[in-house]
Amino acid sequence: MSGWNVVWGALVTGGLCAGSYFGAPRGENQTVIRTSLIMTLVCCYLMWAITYLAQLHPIINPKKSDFARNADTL
Amino acid sequence: MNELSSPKSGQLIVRCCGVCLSADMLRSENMTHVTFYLPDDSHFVVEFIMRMGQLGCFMPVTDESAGVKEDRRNSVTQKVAFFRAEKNLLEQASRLLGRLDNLCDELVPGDQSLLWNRSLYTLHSDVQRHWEEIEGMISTYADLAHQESKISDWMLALQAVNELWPEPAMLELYRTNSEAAEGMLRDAEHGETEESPFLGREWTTVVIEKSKALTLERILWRWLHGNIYFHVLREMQEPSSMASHHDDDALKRALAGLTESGWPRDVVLLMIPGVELARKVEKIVEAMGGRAFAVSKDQAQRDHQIQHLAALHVDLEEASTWPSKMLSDYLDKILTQSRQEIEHHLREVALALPSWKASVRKFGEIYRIAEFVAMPDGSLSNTARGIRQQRALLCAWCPSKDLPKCHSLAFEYKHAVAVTYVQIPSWRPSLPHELRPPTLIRTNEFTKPFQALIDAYGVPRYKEINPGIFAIVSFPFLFAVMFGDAGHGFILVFAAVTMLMLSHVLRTKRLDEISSMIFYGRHLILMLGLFSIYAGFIYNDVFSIAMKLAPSQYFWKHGRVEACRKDGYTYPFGVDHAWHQADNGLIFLNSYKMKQAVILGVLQMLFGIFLCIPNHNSQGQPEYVLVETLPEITFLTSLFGYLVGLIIFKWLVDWKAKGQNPPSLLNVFLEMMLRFGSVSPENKMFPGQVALQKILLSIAVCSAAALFLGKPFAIMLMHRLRRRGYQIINDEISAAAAIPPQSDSEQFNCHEEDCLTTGDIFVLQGIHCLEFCLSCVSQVASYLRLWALSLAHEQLSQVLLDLVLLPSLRVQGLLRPVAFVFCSLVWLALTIGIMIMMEGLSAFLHSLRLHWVEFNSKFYQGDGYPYEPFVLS
Repeated sequence: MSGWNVVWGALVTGGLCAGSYFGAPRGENQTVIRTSLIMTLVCCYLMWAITYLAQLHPIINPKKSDFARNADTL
Repeated sequence: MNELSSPKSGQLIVRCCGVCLSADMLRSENMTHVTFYLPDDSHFVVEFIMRMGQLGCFMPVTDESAGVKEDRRNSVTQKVAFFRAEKNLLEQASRLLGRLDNLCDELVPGDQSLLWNRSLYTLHSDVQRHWEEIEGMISTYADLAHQESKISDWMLALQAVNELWPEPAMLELYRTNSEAAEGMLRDAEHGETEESPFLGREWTTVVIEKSKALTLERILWRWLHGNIYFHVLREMQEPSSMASHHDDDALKRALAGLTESGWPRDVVLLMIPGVELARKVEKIVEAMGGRAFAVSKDQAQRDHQIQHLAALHVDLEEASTWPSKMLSDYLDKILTQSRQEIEHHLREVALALPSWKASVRKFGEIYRIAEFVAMPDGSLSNTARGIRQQRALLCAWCPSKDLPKCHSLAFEYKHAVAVTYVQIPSWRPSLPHELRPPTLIRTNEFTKPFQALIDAYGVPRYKEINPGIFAIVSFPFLFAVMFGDAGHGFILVFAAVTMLMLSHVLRTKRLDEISSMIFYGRHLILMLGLFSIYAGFIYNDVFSIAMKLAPSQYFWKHGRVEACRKDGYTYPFGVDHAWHQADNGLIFLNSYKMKQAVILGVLQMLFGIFLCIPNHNSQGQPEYVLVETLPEITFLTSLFGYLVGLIIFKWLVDWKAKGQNPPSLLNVFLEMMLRFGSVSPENKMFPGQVALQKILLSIAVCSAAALFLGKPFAIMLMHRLRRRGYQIINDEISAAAAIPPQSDSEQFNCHEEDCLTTGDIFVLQGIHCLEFCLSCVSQVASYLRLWALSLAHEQLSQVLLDLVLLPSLRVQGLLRPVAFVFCSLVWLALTIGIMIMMEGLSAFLHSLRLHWVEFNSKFYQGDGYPYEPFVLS
């Protein structure tokens, strides 16, 4: 998995935005529906892409000092 | 005049005025300024306003156009006189209704049907008639009761005296019993003698309250210097028949203060020296609330009096025993009849009262609107007045969508009313003040709370881009970045869905202030919850427990403290759950969240600046896009866009494979500013960095300069171009009419009272430039609150999990379930109290601040006023 995943994600998001732009039902709420859907898609993609990029080539790795208290024993 | 009011011409105006800009939440709707010319008749004006209120799409405003200012004083006095009669009637009616309301309070719950077509006059006369009848009846009843009590008092007194001075056969008893009585009786029997100290004295009986008898004795004793004989004959308790008169609470209130009070009473025998003194004693007694009756010394006369009195009642045999059943029955009959009549009347009034009150309230609203009517000027003669002065003017704003209603209203009154329309399709700085339209943004139940958040900052200017439509998503999104926990988000969604399901029940219920605010924003809370769930998935937090949706990208070799990275695999969605149990998790999370905050901030601010473009275009100033918006964009992009690019670049480079220490972005950025043109080796990130940074910094400085100088020069250039066009026409006109040409002073924006000079526009633009450049830096830093609150939220929920919930699971043995139940209840209470309410409110507030200050300051003017139609329900 590489940084190109972010680009594919961007393309998918762009496609979904175009779909919601043309597919929004006509009526008095068309602008609201379009704006909300496109903004939601863009914001959600942004958050995912930033998180993905941050973990692509991390500079530090997790450190655990005590192995006796493992979070699996719940 | 009739052509103006015909619907056809109105439609023509609507069609002519160009394409309407989109009429939805993005901008305010189109508004039309409507002026009605009404005839000079107060009844017609009132009826017309009533009709306007029933249509409910007009917002009346005062007419401030030129020409009214001179005769404004006249029209105000005229207006006052014109409507004074109506307003007096209205006030009277309200007062009477208030009094009737008090009487009718508990009688009958009123009928809610509305008698709408009563005019104010019939309403007023009805109310007055009823009130007078009731008042008459109440006073008649009071008189009756008054008389009845006086007669009974008198009879009581006479009987008491009779007991004291009985027939001669009983005289022996008295003689032996009392010395004073002996003396009195001797005088009474044998007439006046010369030696008797009570020669020619008056005998009076007084009936007075027992508590006041002692006071009366003292007063009379002091005043007459002891020349008085005061003897309490008998004490009377309240007869039971009187109590039955007042068992009805409502009637009691109506008749309060009109009937006698003060039992038990004393019957006192007084002997006073002198007729004049007797009269004065009577006055004193009456002032103290008692009654004085002259007593004749003659037994026969007293008897005759008693007979006479009893003949006024009926039934003499039982009159000597008090209380008398038949006497009281007869009195009851008279009193009951009048009481029943009063009750019946009050019931009628109570039924009609709510509709009367509604009518009065509506007339009050109509007269409030009547204030907006500009009255005709009465000083000029009929022929000298134009149409403006001949008729009453009423100006109103009407949404262009509702123009058909306006046409129908004009058609209905077409014989009497003339109408003019002014369409305002867009906003211009040169619009005169009275033609600035109100803002109407139609919202539904879902978009209402988001628009309310923006309106609290400022109502959008007419035809300005409305930030409310973007707040529908950006506000919950920024909230979620600060609140990111899927478990807490789920609780929010649960609460919102509950309110939505019960909305038809809760809507009618009367909630207190905070609950009604929460109910008002139920869709907002739903959006907050949904976005928080998504953010919780990204941050990998469900009540501070990480989800293992995919295998981690780290693995621990045996015995090693630090994990190793799996090659070629990145955790696909969100933050890796390995960080959750790590000791140095915060180091990674802090860096990640800070960078995320900066990226989101720069993007939102850039979006805000881009929103200026449609605003400038719609306000007829497209040149501002080039001289103001473009420098702003280049300034922000060249500095902070570059920072965002550096962040992403640093993430994309595999520093370990490169073998280079990753440079600190802060140092890189600071060095770019402080040391122009050189990059130290540890800050080198990519080849060509020096050149790129030089170019970007130069662009930033140039755009700052352009921001300062561009707009003033553009304004001056535009002004000169326009004036040159008018100058040619002006020269021709002035040459023909020998008028001196216009003065050469440079004045811009001269339609309002304050004309801006050249210096003013430079100063204003300088302030704007400085504010923008400095705020770029401070506001990007301000967006770091997204990181700060998210950190606080995560740490708090971790504390709740680690210190409240988990210790109960380490308890061994039988106590474990008990401890777990108890601890989880405490955990739930703390989660709802601290995490949802406190942290939720905090994140709400900070997200709102980011919208109001950082986003809105880039493009939003917010100096409009809302459209509030006059509606008569």
